Amino acid sequence: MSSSETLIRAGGLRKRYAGEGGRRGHLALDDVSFELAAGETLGIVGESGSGKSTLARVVMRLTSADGGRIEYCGRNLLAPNREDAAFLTRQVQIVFQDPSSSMNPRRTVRQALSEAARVAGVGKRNMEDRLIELLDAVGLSREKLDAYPHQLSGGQLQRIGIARALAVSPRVIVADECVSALDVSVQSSILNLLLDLQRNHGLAYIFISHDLSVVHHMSDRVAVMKSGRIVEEGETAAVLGNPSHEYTRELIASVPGLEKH
Amino acid sequence: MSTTADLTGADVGAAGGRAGRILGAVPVWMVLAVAFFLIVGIAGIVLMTVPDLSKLVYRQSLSKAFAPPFTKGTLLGADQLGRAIEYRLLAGLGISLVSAAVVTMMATVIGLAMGLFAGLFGRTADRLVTIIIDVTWAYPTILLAVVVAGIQGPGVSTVILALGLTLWAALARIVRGQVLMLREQEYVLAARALGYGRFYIAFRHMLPNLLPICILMATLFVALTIIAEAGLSFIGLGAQSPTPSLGKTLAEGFSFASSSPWPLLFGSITIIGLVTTLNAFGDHLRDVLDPKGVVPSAGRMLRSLTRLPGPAVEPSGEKAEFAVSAQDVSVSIVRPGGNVPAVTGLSLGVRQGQTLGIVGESGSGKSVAARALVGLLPAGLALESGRVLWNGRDIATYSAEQLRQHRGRFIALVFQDARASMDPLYTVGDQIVETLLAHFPQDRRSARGKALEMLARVGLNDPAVFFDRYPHQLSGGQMQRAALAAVLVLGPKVLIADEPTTGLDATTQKKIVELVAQLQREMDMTVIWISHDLDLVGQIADNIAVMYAGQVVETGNATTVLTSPTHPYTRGLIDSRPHIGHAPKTPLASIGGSVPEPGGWPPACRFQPRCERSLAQCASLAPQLAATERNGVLLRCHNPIESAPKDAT
Ligand code: SF4
Repeated sequence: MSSSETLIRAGGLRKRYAGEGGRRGHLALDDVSFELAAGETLGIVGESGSGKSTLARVVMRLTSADGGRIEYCGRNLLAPNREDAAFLTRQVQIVFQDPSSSMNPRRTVRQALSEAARVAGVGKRNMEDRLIELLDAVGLSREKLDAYPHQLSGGQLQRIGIARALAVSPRVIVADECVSALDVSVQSSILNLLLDLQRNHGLAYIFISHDLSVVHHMSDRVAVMKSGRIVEEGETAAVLGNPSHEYTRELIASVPGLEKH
Repeated sequence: MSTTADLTGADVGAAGGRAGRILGAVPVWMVLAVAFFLIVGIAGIVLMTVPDLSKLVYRQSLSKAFAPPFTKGTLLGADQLGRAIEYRLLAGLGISLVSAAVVTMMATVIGLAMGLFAGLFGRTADRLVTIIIDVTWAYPTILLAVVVAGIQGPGVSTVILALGLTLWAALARIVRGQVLMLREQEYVLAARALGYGRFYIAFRHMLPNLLPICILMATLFVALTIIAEAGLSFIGLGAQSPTPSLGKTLAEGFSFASSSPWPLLFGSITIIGLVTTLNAFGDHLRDVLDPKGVVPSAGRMLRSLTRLPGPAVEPSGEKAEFAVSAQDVSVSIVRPGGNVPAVTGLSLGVRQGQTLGIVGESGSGKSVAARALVGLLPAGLALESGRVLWNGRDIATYSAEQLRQHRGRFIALVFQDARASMDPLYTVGDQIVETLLAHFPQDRRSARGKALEMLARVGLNDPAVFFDRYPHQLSGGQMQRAALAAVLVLGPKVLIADEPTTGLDATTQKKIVELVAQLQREMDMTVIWISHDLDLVGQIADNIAVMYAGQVVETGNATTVLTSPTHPYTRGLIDSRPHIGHAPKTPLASIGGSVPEPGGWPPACRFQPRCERSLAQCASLAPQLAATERNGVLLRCHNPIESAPKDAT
């Protein structure tokens, strides 16, 4: 928030998934625009089908958009040339939801992390040091390097997922429901880790979740999505404290425990 | 998560341990049978290829025709031309082995390539391959064999071509499905996000995961080839005289069965033995290669299904204080190396019309507890001790039939995955009607009427429309409503809801919670609501039981427990959830470590390694669930937090 440099500028994003048998598909993104500044967290909250995960995929170029544009520091993020693509890979990374599928079950932590570190140009010689540094950053010991995914707990796997994203030293991390599949008692330690990393590395997050309390806790600004549209956007305290859109109010009312506080 | 702490050490140590693990686990008889057929088959190949030896296969001697076993210098007798059956069979096995190997290679390579191509190269490629697969699939092998035979004449190579060019479709179809699934796995997405290309992903991330399926399909292909060769040779499209294929031996044996049954008998025994061995081996491989691992064997599943409850206890004389209660119930996971406790010493009860919330994380045993309360433990779980009482009566005293009747009419269960509890092939309405008829015989018209009424009561407005819908046509929220209708139509006194709203959107969740509360009032039901979500349970429950690692650690009045928790775990759970009142972007309280899995529980206090208040005695002396002075709350802790209002922190 403190820094005012805008990293991502997205406008008029549109995406329709093809329907079955020629029917009109479902409109996942409908004229979505947002900006992300260096070091800030933009929370995106919405229910299933709201388009929030599609947005994450479009930003990561895992899914193409039908229309609109996204710029990263002035470079075209949606259809980058070769050089820009390599650059963007090292600027924007993603952490996923499901710890049980975030690592290939047949590969070790070492293999998974070095795959990512290689992209950042880490050579064979420095690899070991870099991997240990990465594990250290996410609070895991080096013994974990030779572990297979099934030997790790959900929280540990999620830490590996974060380490993998950190391996390229990105400036932006898209966190797509990154604590939703975790036990309640380990969620908070992952959230704390993300906050620490943000403080230490100046990371910007696009923090996507269906869980309003978590988004509230993590975000400087919030965008509320419904049916592919951003229905309300602004400073977290303003949006959640004084919602202007009917849907935001409904969402707040449906979170158990929120009214009590 | 399926990770199991106690298995990990021995499980996958080094990557090279894998092959050893597969072979090490094969039962002795299977090793012997496979080795036998391999050795005999190789002997057969040698027999066919060494010119001097191959004479043995073809040597005719009319004087020996139809010789029974052990006569005229033969072992298994002779056929219509006086050729020794043992050599014919040996050679036949050799031929089968070679053709099976060729067919399997062909089918696997084509199938794998096609499947990967379809899954990785976009929509057009996928459509194209799918069409080819469908056409191939629809095209019978026999028909292709006829065509090939027309071109190059019948023979073993005709069989091989016909099979190789059709069987691949089965593998391609599976591989395509797997690739589509793997493509969405987050580690594949992560690799793409790191800029890795298709071929890298196909080789590094997909092939290793496809290998087990390929191996399984290959054993299937081998068995299929042997059967198909026999069949095609039998109808004259395969091997021709004098080629000694198994099918040919069988066909000739069949023609001359009235003169001598031996060729037919030995031929059949060979084929049946071979195919049975291969199938058993394939099944075994599936069990071993199944990444989820601990699939209970058929025998064990059968035993736990038919397991009788412990010695019948006198129908208890106590007044039915509780609609449902558990007394010192312990449940174990059945494992080959010894049972592992999943729930221990569970004692709780719910008064008629009240709501009990059972809260816990994964591995806490809360779902196992729910299943024990309905007397319906899934295969692989066994009741070790304790009693479950329905209206004060021990359910062990019910006969299986009585139990079945009470389940549904007295006590009902809804799950998180409502879709899985419905049959996808029947409409929602039909399923409700069937349930109703099974319990209360009546004519279909009145059953239909009741089903419609119930659908309306669970808030599916326009019940006539939903009556005719199939499960896949419903949204998550509608599905959960339909599932509720399907159990509540029997008018149960007790409803056990196991995470029924987990995975639903917050707004939908709220509606389902309100619906259950409303139905509970209307139908005077007792509800046990199981969830990982403390906030949610706090809203609806009169009493609450917090479970950790198979035990209740704190239980009592919901408001008391949630506003002034005294067990360090309960307190940790509450504090680690971000609330709107908590200052944003500041660290949350957190509980270190992770939830231990069954089998990995600490010996004394199971929360001890993660507990900040742990005392010396916590590691040696197991705390008992004991009464406290707070509003009847029971607590399991040596060093509880002073019960001050939690806002004090
Ligand atoms: S018994 Fe000891 S270790 Fe266990 S929860 Fe209480 S204080 Fe913590």
